[in-house]
Amino acid sequence: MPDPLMQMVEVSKSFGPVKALENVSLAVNRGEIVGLLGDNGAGKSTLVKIASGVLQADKGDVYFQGRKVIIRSPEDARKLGVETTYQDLAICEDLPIWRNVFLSREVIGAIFMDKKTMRKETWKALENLQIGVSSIEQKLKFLSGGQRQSVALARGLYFNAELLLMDEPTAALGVAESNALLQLMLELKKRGKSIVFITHNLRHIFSVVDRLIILYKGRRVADLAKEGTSIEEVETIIVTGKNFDDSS
Amino acid sequence: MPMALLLVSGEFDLSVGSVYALVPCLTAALNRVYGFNIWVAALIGILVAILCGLVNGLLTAKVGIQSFIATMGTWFFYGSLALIVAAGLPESIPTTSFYFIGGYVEGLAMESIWLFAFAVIFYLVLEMTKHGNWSMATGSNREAAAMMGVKTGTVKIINFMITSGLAGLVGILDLSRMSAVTPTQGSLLTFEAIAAAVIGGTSLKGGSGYIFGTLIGAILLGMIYNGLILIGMGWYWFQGFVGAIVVIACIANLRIERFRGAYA
Repeated sequence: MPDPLMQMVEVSKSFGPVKALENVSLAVNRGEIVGLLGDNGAGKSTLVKIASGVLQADKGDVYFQGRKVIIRSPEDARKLGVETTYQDLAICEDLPIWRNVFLSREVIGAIFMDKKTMRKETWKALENLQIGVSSIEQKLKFLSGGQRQSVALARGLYFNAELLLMDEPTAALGVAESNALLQLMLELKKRGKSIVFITHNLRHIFSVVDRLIILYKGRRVADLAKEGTSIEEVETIIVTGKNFDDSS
Repeated sequence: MPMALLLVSGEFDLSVGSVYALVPCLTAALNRVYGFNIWVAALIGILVAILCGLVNGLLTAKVGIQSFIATMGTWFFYGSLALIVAAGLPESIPTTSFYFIGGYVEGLAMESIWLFAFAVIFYLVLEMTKHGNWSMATGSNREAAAMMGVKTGTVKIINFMITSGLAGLVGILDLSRMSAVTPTQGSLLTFEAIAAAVIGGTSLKGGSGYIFGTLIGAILLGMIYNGLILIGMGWYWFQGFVGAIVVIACIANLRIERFRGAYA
């Protein structure tokens, strides 16, 4: 079964005297949803930023599809097929949906942008994910949080992302919207995509993930299959950093 | 209109008024004092204007000074350069050979043709090109745009260069029309340019703007100016009217935006 899409091996990162990550390893298999958990300051976001090319690790290796890779920028990550969605960061809310989906990857005709193609493809991408919006001309600031997340996902998937790093995607969402997004994640998993899901919401995590990785003060303290653990146990590990029945 | 493009990318340029004065002063001085051919002198003038824009852009996008402060500084600096070049006195050119680029041909003001030509060009740039798309994204959310792969610094620098270059061109057109230039001219031009863009629905926060709106804003300002003189009120009233219209237009734009957003 293990068919690692991305592996990070003994990654360390410091900000001045602060050790944000210390020898953290992580593997994400194809078609797997991995929950990345930890209290504030545990290093979750740092780890994701390293995987997405926003930050560079001080030490450690990254493998993608078995090959060692060096990710220096978000473009590098994207070329590999790693797409990151942030809670509310990585969209331009004054731009209509289709401009966001194609931003920096515009389809250019003879001289000008090929708007017709971009609009058509945006519709297709949204329909493909069953995302309901009334018009792709809508600016993102008039969309709900869930719809914005969906647009960001559609953008990544349209350009063949294999691994989605989702940093607190449900943090700003209502109950119904969160559920819709979780359904979408399961659907993507069915299509063979891998997802790293970061959240503080254990209920959300438990409803979709296969495996849980828990960080505590920059160290990995647990790597658990969802079966055989419980919300209570995970909560204890997150708070105390102690994993009593760790086999690893 | 270049100001609209710059505003869309989230910056503004206060120094255009000084560039508008500096470039024709320099051109006139090169022509009259140093005997440069007027076309060569004008070309050098435009290049200097673009260089001024590059400085503004580097200060803002690379050094990281807010464009308000950076271009206020360069506004003083370029304004001073204009005075130095012209030695404080109005400059004139002995030639009329390039009158036709900015004067009247067959009773038609050439500047109006430039205006419409650039309206079309900037409309196409903003709406139809990658650069326009990137400008909007940069102004809307620079961090996000950068994460999505937009080279936001380059976008800003290019827009500063375009804005400044065209401010210089306008200065040259006025020089060609009047054969003379005052080093202190253009003190209001900066704010008129921003006013035109704002009346046309461009947001000072960046991210959205309309070239044809800006064109209408510019024409409106011109009409108010002429109209006030024609009805005998004189231009003392001009600034007051401009101020009132800017505020009214902003309120209207805000409402239109909400309406369109809700029903797009």
